[in-house]
Amino acid sequence: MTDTDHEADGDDVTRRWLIRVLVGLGFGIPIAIEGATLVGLVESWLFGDGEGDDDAASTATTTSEPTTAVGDDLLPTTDRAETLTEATVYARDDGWRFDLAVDVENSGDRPYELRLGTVTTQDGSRVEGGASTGRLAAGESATLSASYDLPDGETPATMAVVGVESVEGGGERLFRRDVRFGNIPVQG
Amino acid sequence: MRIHRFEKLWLAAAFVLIAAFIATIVYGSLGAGVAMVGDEGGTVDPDDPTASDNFREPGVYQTGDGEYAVYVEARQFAFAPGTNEPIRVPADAEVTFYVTSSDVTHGFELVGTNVNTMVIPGQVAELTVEFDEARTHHIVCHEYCGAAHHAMEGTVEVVSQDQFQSQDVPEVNEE
Amino acid sequence: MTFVDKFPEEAKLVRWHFGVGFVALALGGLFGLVQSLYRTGYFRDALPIDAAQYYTVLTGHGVLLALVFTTFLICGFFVWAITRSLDRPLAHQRVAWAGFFAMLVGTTLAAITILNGFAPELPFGSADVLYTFYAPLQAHPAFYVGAALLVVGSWVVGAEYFLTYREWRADNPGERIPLQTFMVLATFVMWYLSSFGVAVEVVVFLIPWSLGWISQVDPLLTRTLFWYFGHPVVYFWLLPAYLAWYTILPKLAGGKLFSDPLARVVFVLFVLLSTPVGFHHQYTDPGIAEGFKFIAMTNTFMLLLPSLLTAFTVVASLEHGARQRGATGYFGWLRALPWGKPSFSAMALAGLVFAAGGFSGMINAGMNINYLIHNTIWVPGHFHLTVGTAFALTMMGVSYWLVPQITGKQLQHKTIAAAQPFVWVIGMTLMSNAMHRGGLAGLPRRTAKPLFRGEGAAPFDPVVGSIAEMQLQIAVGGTLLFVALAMFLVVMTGTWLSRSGVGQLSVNGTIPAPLSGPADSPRILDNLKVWAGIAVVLVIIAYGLPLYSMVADGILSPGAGLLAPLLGL
Repeated sequence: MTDTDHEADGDDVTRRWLIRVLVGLGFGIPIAIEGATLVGLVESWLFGDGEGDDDAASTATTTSEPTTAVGDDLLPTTDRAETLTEATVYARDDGWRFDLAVDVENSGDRPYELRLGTVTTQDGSRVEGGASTGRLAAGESATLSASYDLPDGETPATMAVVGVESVEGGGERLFRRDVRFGNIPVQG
Repeated sequence: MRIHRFEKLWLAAAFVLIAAFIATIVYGSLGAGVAMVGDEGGTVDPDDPTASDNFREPGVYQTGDGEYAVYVEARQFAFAPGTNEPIRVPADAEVTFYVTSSDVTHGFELVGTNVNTMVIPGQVAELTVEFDEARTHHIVCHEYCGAAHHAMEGTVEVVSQDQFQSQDVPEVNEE
Repeated sequence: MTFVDKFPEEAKLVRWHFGVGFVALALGGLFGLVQSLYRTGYFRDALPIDAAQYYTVLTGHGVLLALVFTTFLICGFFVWAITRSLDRPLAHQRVAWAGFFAMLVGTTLAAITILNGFAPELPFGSADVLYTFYAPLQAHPAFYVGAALLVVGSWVVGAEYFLTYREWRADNPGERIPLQTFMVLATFVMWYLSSFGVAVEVVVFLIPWSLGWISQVDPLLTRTLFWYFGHPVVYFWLLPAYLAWYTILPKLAGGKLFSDPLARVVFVLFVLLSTPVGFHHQYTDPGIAEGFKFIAMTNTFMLLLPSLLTAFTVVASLEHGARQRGATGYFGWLRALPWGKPSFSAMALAGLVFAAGGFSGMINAGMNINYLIHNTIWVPGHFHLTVGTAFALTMMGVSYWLVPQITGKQLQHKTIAAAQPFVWVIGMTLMSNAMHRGGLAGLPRRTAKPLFRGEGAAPFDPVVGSIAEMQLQIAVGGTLLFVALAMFLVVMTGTWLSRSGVGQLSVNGTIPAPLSGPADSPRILDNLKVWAGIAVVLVIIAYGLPLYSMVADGILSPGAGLLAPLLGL
């Protein structure tokens, strides 16, 4: 009437043990995981408020690190204006590209140069490349554009920026900064 | 047809469970006032949402005393406003989001909250929220919208009433 | 007498359906492994895909498993169920083969367009539109034609069931429909009613649109037609599993079904209520009034009833079986069940996991609670318990029992087979538990990189655990699931390739009569025409007005008036 029990009555003792272990694990692991989740849920329900606020506080500190968006100055420590006027990632079939533009106004009284360097993506890839305004005389301004070929699917996190100010007597004074980007829009 | 006694008990318990679930939901919407998305937002021309009476130029508007309207246009792969510049709204005010899409279907969710709606071309999702604390909320697009879907995100900055007064927000009369 | 000896032609038909289904399972499962390692960030760099191709993988995973694997397994399994329970060959085999080939051609077309995402030199174009293919994201026309052929092919195979039943009825007037046949026919009544929606969506709107014959489609209308089909399809997956739990599982446990009439009541309830529920996938959709969403929610909750009844009947049948094997005590009978028999353990574990999936489904169904988890990773966490385990693992259990009967070959690698269901369940528990927790924290689904670009995991605030730990749990769970899948395929391939006619098969297709037979139940239960009629009325109540309003505001474009876009062409 029923299946003959060749399988279950198998004389193979190791297999029988294997099944016992698996039944133990197969029921034990789910019960342990779901049990732990339940305890965690109840705990957070009973004492959750304090914990939740801590999390929110730590979130706030991580997000308060200054990020640079369109309209911001890339090097606030110089007295020149280096304003990010455009920053967009283009997601195209032939690859992803990061285009940006910076308006540089040499409002100081000595020659000045802005150099853009390596971009690091959110996933940690380094994309070499860059651009430079060349030497700008006092009072001169320029618009600097740069374009980086990103690995597909990745977006920029930081960019190395160097401001070069000519010092009297032929030397240079360097202002270095790794600019951290905020939300850079991605366009299809 | 014979039904076992245990089975009858089980059946009765099942009905009670079902009734209890429905009651919870009804209480949630009528008692606790959980707002949901309906068809109030109306329809727009997906190619030019602002041309319709149901949608405005994207941005934040003051519509009354303590009442604000936020018009958000989603497109591949950004929220405007929200991605390029954060959406700034005051705490303890009635904020109504109007969200639509000018290309494909997107999602609009403030992470960890029940501010969550589909963004469908031609339809305006309308949802009213009151933020009770000043903090940053993250917007995520939760519907696949193309190759860079995972890069589509934004922020809502909820600031205190005092801080918000200084903001330059156009005032409009809502219908 | 073994099925293959008694009905060799039908056995061949079942074998072909299962064979194609297993190929889809293998490829879809591999995609699943890639996904779990990519989106969690583990081994992302080691994988040969980029973020854009993640969506190709995701499309392939969904289409091959949720649409192709399921439909082929169901159609094949039902050929067996009809033939066995009516105890007669199919009426017109050619009809069934025609349906099978339509499904096969459809699958091939769709698969080529999906694989285009990796190899653009393949014919046609790409189809990175996921298995929900929401317009206006557009795939190559071949993808939509393939989807339509898959659905229409299943209709043709289904017609074969009804034709065979009609012949049987002519020879057996006045007899009660055998239970398995009743279940098959009821499932297909529901399937015809519900898959009609997606057929209209694809044939009337998406194919003409992808060919450029019409310039646009209404995203909300096509989406609504998709979900008109998109929820009932889960019952199309579930009811074959119920068929196995009601008719095969009690026998494997050593007993018999508790009640035949209640099984019929359950299937009738599914015929009535499966379709007017699709709006519960659209609770967060603009453009649909809350009242219609509420009707869908009430129907959805009523559907709990047949599932809860099933839980009772199946567990009662198992307990009866265990006691037949000499078990005693309130819980002692659980130990007496044949956990070492893979066909039994796979189906029983699938049933247990389905209970958990049912509970998370109740959360999804709650109209306002849904807003917290809609389109978060909670949702795939839920349906990997239902279609991914209740259906898939049950079908694996069915295969351990049925493949020997349709091939005439002994099951091979029995130790691997015995271990496989447990490995699957452990993997699924790890993955699904973390997905549910992640969803509560707002972690989105359907994304190559769920974390924020600037802040990473910081914006997510999990109630239990941390995001990093959940990602690890998902990666480990996904890997274990792939191992379990490979074990299943090793057993199936080994069995298929082994020599036939070696000794007597250790399984047979005899199914004992239920404890309470159909004679106790009212005959109206068997009148599927009545139930189909009522189901249509319920569908009209739930869908009539909202569909009318979507069409009335512009059939191809909302806000334009009914025929404006057509005239504008």
